[in-house]
Amino acid sequence: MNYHLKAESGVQLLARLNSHQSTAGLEEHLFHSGPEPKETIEIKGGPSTGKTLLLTQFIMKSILPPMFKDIKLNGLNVGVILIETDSHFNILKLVNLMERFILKKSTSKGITIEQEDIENLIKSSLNNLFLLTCHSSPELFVTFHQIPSLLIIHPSVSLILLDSVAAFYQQDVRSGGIRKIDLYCRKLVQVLQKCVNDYNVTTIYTKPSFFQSKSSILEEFSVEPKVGKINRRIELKFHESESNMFVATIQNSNSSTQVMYTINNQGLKWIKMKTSE
Amino acid sequence: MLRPLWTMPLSGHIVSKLNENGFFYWEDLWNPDNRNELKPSVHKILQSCRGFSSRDFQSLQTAPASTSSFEVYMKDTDDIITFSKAVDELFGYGIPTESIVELCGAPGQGKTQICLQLCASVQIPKSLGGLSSAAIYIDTNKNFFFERFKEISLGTVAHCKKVVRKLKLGSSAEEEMKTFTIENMERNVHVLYVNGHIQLLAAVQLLEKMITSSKARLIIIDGFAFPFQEIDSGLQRTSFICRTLGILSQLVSKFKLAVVLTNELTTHISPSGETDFIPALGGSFAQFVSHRLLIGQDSILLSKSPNRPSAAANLKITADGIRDAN
Amino acid sequence: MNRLDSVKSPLLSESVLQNLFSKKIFTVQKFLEEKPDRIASISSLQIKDVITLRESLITQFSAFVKKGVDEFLDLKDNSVELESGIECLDNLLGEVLRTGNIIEICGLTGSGKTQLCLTIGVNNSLRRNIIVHFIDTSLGNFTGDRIENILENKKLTKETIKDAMNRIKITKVRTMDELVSTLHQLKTSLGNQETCCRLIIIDSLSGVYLPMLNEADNDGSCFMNHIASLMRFISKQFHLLFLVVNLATKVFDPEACLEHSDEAPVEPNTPFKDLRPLLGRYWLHVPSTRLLIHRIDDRNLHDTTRTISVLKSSSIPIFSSCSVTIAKEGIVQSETND
Repeated sequence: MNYHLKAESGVQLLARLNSHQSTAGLEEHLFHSGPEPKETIEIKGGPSTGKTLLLTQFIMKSILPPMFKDIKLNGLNVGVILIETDSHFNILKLVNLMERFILKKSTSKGITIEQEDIENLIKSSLNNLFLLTCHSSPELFVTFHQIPSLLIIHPSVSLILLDSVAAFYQQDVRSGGIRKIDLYCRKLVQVLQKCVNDYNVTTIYTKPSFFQSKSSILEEFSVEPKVGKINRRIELKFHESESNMFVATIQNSNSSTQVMYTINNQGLKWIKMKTSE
Repeated sequence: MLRPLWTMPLSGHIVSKLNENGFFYWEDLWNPDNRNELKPSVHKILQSCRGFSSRDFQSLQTAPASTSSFEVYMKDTDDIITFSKAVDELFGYGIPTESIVELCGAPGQGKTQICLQLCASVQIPKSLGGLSSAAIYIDTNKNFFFERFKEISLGTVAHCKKVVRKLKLGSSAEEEMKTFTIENMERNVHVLYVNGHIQLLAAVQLLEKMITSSKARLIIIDGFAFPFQEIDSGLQRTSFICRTLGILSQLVSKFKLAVVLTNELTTHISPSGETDFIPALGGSFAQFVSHRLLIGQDSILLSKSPNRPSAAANLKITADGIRDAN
Repeated sequence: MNRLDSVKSPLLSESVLQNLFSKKIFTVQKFLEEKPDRIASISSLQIKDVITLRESLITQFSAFVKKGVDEFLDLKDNSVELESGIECLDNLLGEVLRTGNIIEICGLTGSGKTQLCLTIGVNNSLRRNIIVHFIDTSLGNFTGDRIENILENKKLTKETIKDAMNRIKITKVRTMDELVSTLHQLKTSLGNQETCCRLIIIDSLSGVYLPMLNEADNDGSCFMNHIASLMRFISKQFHLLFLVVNLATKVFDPEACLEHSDEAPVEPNTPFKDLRPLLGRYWLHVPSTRLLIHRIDDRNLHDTTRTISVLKSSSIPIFSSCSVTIAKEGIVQSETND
């Protein structure tokens, strides 16, 4: 009996040693040097504020290589697991963003690359993306348990994305699940956190703005990564007075920063930074 | 993807009984080796529940049949004539059955007159192209006057007699005309007076029985908005209105009825201070209505219809009922 | 399957199941939640068997892992870009009407939502030889008359009209559970059909949602949630587009759905800030694109011109719009369009 349990943790140990690369530099406008390994980050926002688009940008940055034919792409060259429940992620959009990005980088360097090269680069990068689409709560739950074995097979994966936590809430409540939204959300994220806890990966999930309890208590951010806690929240909102302008508020345990952005066909475009507190 | 049990048309206690025993999905109830057979444990649970019949249990998941639009197009629908050719032409050939029609206008513009005319028209014998059927008139505000209905019936019968004679429709039409009398016409209009929204909902819930016994093809609810004015909470009002209309629309397709509702105009003041007259009861009501007619002085406007363009017609109200303006 | 007794595994014998059930461990989910040694002691299975069983349950019931590159190639080969057939609208929308998406058309009553659906349905049936499913929840919205009328005004032969009409399938649905049944049935039947279906129209969702509206329970929203999951599944699985109609009401309309009242306007600077689509806050997030069809002049009931504006999209600027006219041959581009 013990033999088997030891064998399990042996694999886990191996996987840990096999260390999943850090996601530092994922988006300097939002994280500066971070995110730190094992962090959990929440992205919250209303419809059309760019939650899924931001995730798409994270994916692009992660799966692209740092360099391609003398062109600096600044990619992280790490793998990404995307767990989709809302079906808003669109791979054609990702490919489109990547194309535009590569073209822009190459023209600014004065280098012309063949369309075929771009396509091959995109395709090989897409080998680093793993999609898991869930259509029901039980399926999502079982899928969480599948992730450890995926992380062992694919040691390159450093980023786990979940879009979004709210997809099955009303159905779950109707089947006798947790009614209090904050608690529901925490429990769901907790199951995922437990499954990836042994691995050096960053977890990011999205949450629609309405998805919070009426008497919501402001959650404290944990400094250290910890199961049941989140380390950062990025809240996306429409700008109050300027149209077509958005504001992202980034909070963690010791600071709160705001970044303005617009959305165009190249994705979210950061404008300027202003720090409060 | 599995189907949760709470989406099934099952009563709440059956669902919670099954949930208690760890059954949450429809697919889980069935024997994995034979999908037409309930698991023995499920059968045992269900038999202990009130109101369970194993006979049509499997058919609970059956979806409504689908047909091609060509078949739908080829199928004839019945219409109820208004006795004004111009108004009939707004719809094609008269007020269509299998639809809910809203008549909307200020008081005294003739909404009730049109309703009474329809109660007479729906009874026109089949050999004259009518429906030979009856009407149920739900009256919320004491609008139905038998005296006036009698006048319109007289006008209708006289007109029909003229048609039979003129077109020489033959013996079967003459035979049918013998029973097409004022007395029978009065008998074939079933008037229900209701007071308040609870009584209205109750009346609508009783309609199925009345339709089966009376063979009615026309339901009129005169003063539809009136009973709902007593509800203060907006959400509750919407909920009551939609529930009432939900039942009506099921009856409409089941019995191929025409349902005619009359509605008031209310003053509407926008936040910027502009005033306007709009039909009462708001947009959530209007979406159950297939056709909306706005009634003005001697004219009528079809303002919403799924298949006809918006257009207007003139009419006049005579002692004999509704007629063309000229 | 969610329940353990629907799973086919030699390890799950009748007595093992009975032991697990007696401790209220009925489902796959519950089984995975428990620690393996506890499962072993309850079920009298060996721990190595419990681990094997766990692993087999996870691989059997977890979502399928798809590499990004495979998903990309799959979409490139199998997804289709539909068009509305209305020139200015197609220019506005670009690739929005691609299969795999859920598009909402909202508007006030009488604004022409059904006309827009009929036009898009007819145009796609005509141009692409595809099956169009039209799920009609309101009375008589889908009259064969109007379809025939649209086709006839396009000056086509009787045979073409008949074929196009035969490819448009109509299902009349009266209640929410009938709608759920219809979608579950499509989920199984779409795979077996010879001619492929690329477009499913639901006119309207609000028609079956509103009668459920009640203060006491949340029946309406959990149904919307389930329907959203179903539509997502079907649209991805069979590469088709969902076009759903939703009613909008004026905010100051006393009948406007009150569940929005505690929420700030969707966007503070919106030109349509007095309009609200129904179906609740949850639903706002579901469609990938939301279009609003609107009368330009509220008072002139004869006016057949409308604007179609984008209220939600990830690829086109919101509030961009075009102007259309409701004509005999369906909805067409307005002549005044520049």
